[in-house]
Amino acid sequence: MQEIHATPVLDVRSLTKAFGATKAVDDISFSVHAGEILVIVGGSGCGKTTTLRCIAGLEEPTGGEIHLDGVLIASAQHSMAPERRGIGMVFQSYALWPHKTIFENVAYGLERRGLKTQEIRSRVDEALTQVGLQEFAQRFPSSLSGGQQQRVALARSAVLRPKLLLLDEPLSNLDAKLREHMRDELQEMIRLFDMTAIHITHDQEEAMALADRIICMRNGRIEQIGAPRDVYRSPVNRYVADFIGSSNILEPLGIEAAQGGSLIDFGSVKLRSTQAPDAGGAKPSIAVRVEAVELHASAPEGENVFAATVTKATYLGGNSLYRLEANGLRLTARASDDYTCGETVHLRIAPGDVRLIAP
Amino acid sequence: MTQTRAQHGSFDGGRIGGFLFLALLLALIAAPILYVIYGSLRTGAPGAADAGFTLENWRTAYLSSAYLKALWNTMALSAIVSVLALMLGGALAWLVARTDMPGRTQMALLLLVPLLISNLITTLAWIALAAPNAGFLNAWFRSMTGVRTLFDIYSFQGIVLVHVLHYASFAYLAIFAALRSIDASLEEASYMLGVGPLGTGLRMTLPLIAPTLATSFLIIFVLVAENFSVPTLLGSPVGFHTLPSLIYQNMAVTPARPTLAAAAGTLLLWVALIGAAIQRRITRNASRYITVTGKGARLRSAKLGGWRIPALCFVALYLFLAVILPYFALMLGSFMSFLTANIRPSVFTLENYATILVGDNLAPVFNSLILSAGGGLGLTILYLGMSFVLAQASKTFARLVEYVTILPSAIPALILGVGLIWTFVGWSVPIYGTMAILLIAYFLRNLGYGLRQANNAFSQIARELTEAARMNGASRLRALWDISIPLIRPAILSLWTMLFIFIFMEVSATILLYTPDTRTMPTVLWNYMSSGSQPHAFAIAVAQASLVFIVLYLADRKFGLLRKTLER
Repeated sequence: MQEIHATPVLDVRSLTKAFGATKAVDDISFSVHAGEILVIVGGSGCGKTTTLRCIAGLEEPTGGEIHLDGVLIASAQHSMAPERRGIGMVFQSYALWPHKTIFENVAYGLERRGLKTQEIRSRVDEALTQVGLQEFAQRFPSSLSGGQQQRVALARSAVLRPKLLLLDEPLSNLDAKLREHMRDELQEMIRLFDMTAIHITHDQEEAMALADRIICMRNGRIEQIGAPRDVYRSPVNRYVADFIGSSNILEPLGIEAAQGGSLIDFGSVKLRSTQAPDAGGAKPSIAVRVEAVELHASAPEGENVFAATVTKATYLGGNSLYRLEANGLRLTARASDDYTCGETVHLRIAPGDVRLIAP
Repeated sequence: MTQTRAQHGSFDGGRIGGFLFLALLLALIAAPILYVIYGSLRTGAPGAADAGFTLENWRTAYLSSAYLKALWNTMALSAIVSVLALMLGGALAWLVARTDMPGRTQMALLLLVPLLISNLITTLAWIALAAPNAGFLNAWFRSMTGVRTLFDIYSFQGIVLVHVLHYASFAYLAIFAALRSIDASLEEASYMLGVGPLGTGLRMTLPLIAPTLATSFLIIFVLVAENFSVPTLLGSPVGFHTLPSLIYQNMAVTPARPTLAAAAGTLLLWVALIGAAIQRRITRNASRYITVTGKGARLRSAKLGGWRIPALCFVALYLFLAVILPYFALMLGSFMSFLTANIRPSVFTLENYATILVGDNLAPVFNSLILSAGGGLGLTILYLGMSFVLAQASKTFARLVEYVTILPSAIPALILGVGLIWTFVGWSVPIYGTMAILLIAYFLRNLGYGLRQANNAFSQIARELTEAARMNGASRLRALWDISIPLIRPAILSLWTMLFIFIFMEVSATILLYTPDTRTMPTVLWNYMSSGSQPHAFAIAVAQASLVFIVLYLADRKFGLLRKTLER
C-alpha cells in the first residue's frame, strides 16, 4: 500500500456533477499524493472524463469540493478558472496548436506567465531535450508522428512544472503495437519530470501498467480504489471482477465457515476460500480469475482439486482459453498447457484465489 | 478566493448583460415592424402633428384594384423567376458537379460571380443593351435585319430576364452543394436494379435534392418579391408595378404617402414571413429523413460524350449573358455623353468618370468604402463576438437568440427602412441622418448570415485546442485571441469580404435611410438613373463592379473565398 503523506496534492471530497437530471459524477471522494500516478478506469459514460474536467476547471462541479495543495479550487459555489489552478493537462488528441511551431507550443505557457525570453528559451530547450525532440523545435506539429506529438504534449505541460498533471486517454488514438511502447515511455517521462499525475483510460491493462493506485468507476460512482495488484486479486464486486481482467463469476448454493476461511458449496464441487463467509456481504457471488484455474493431466496434490471435461478449447497463441465442465459447474480457464476438446483434466484452484464478492 | 468569488459575480453580470443584449436586439428588430404597423394605421407619418387613426391605408392596400394588381404581379413575377432560376441553376449545377464537362473546376467558381454583382447593376447593363431604341443589342440587330426592336428590356420579360440571370447563380450554389453530397452508392443501387440514367435521375436524385429545390424556390421567391429596384427601373416606365415598387413610389416620390406605403408594407411582410416559415418547416422535416452523407462520399459523373463541348458552351453562354456582356456594355456606356446606338468618336467622353470622382461627388465613394470596409469589419467582429458569447451561454438562451436572429432577414429591406426611419427620427441622439442608421440596417439585414458564418467558423476548431490554451494559463479571451482567431482567420476574412460586397452593393435598405451627408455609391447611381443621366450611373456601376471583381479575385487567391463559399 502507498504510504500516506502529510497533505495530499489533490483532495476530492464528495464531488458531484449533474447535467440536468443525470448525475455524471455522483458523490465521489479520493486523494492523490505527491509523486503518485493515479489511474481512473471505467467504461464510457462512467464519469471519469467529467471528474478529470472538474479537476482541470473545464467543468464546474454541482456539489462537493476539490482542494489542491490544501487550497479550495472548486465547489458548487465557485470554481477557480483553469488558467489559475497550475494544473497541466495532456489531451486525448494532444491538442497541439497547428499554427505554432513545436518550440512555440511548449513556450506558450511560459509566455503567459510573463517569463523573460532568455529563461523561456532555456526552459523550452531543456524540456525538448528531455523528451528527445530538440531538433524538431522549429517544425510544425503536423509533421510529427503520433508518438512524437504525445511527447510534445507532455513537454508542454511539464515545462510549467504543474502541481498536478492530468492525462485524458492520451494513448487511445494510437494503434495497439505503438500504444504499449508509448505507455512505457509515458510512465518513464512522468517519473523523469517527477510529476504527480491522474490518468484516465478505459483500458484496464493500461491502467494496471501505469498506476500506483487504481480507481474503478461506474455510473458516476467509485466501485473500488486500491493498488493494481489488490484490485486485481480482490475485486470488491462483480463489476470490478469482470472489468479488471476476466473472471469466472459463480453463484454458490451455500457458504459455511471453515477453518482458515469458508467452504463454498457448488453441489458436487466444494471450494475452500481463505476469506470469511461474510467477506462479500449478505449474499456474495464467487469470483475466480481465469488464469487462477490450473489444469493438470493427473490429479495434483493440494486443496480445491476436482476433475472436469474440456468442452471447448480456443488457441490464442502462447496460451489457450478452455471452457470446462465439472458436474454442472461451468468454468473458463486460461493456461499455456495443451488439451483438446473432450479430454478430462484435473483442476486446482488455490484457496486464496476463490474470492467472495458483492453481487 | 475572493477573486474566484468575483468571477462568480461576473458570471451573474454576464447573465444580466446577456439578457440586456437580447432585449436590445429584440427591441431593434421589433421596433421597426411595430412602427410600420402603427404608421399604416395613421393619417400622417408617426411623429407628425394632427395625425389620427384611420383604416383608409389598409383599405387601399388590401382592397383597391391597383394594389391587388400589384400583389398579383409580385406573385407572378416571383413564381416565374423562381422556377426559371431553379431550372437554369439546376442545369448549371448538374453540369459542373456531376458530369465530365471540361473546365468544370474553374466554371464552378466563376458561376458564383453573378450572385455577387447586384441585380441593380445587371439591370443598368441590360438597359444599355436592350433599351428599345438606343440599346446596343437592339441597334446592332436593327442594322443587321432591319427589325426595329429585338427585345425590349422595359417589360415583364425584361424584369424576369434580369432576375433569372442573377438568381440562377443562387440556385446553382444551393443545388451544387446538394448534388455533391449525394453518395454515389444510392444511385448505383438504382442502376443495379436495372433503372436507367433518366429513371435514376427522376426517381433517386431528384427526390434527394427536393428539399433543397423547395427551400431555394422559397428563398428566391421572397427575395424577388421584396426587390424594388428592378421593377421600378424596368416596370414603372411601362406601368407595371409590384408591391415594392409601389411602396418605394409612395415613400420617395412626391407627393409622398408614407402611411400608405406602410400599409402596403404589411402586405409584403406577410408574404415574406409566410415564405420564411414554410422554408423553415421544410428544412426541419428534410433533415429527418435525409440520406445524404457528408463530405468524402464518392460521386458518380455522367459521361457527356459528344455533348461535352456544347455543355461547356452553355455554361459559358450563361456567364457571358450574366457577367461579361453586361460588364462591357456598361463600360461602353460609361464613356458616352448620352446613351446612343450611333457609335461615333464624338459621343465618347471621360466626363462621367470625372464627375463622379471630383469634389463633392467623391463623398459617396468615400462613404461607400468606409461603410463597406470599416462597417463590414465592425459587423464581422460583432457577429464573431455574438457567436463567441452565445457559445458560452446556456443552450436555451442560445436557441432563443437564434430564433430572434432569423426574423430580420425575413423583413423586406424597404419595410425595414421605413420602420427604422420612424423608430429613430424623433431621437435627440442623432442616429437618423447619420451612418449609424445605415449600419443598424446593415447589421439587421446580415444578422442571420453573419451569425451563421461566425458559428461555422468557430465550430471548425476542436474544443481541446482552446482548452489546452487555458490549461497553459490563458484566459478565455486570451485563448480566443491566441488560438481561435489565428486558426479561423481565412473564415473571418471570407466573412469580412462577403459583408464588404453586400454593403458595397446594398441599395434597398439604404435608399430610404440616406441623407445628403450619407449618400453611398448605389444611391447616387439610383439618382442618376431617376434623373435620366444614365451614363453617369453606368460609370458608377463600372467602378463598383470592377472593385468587386478585384476584391473577389484577391480574396479567392489569398484565402480561397469562392471555393469556401462553394464547399461551405
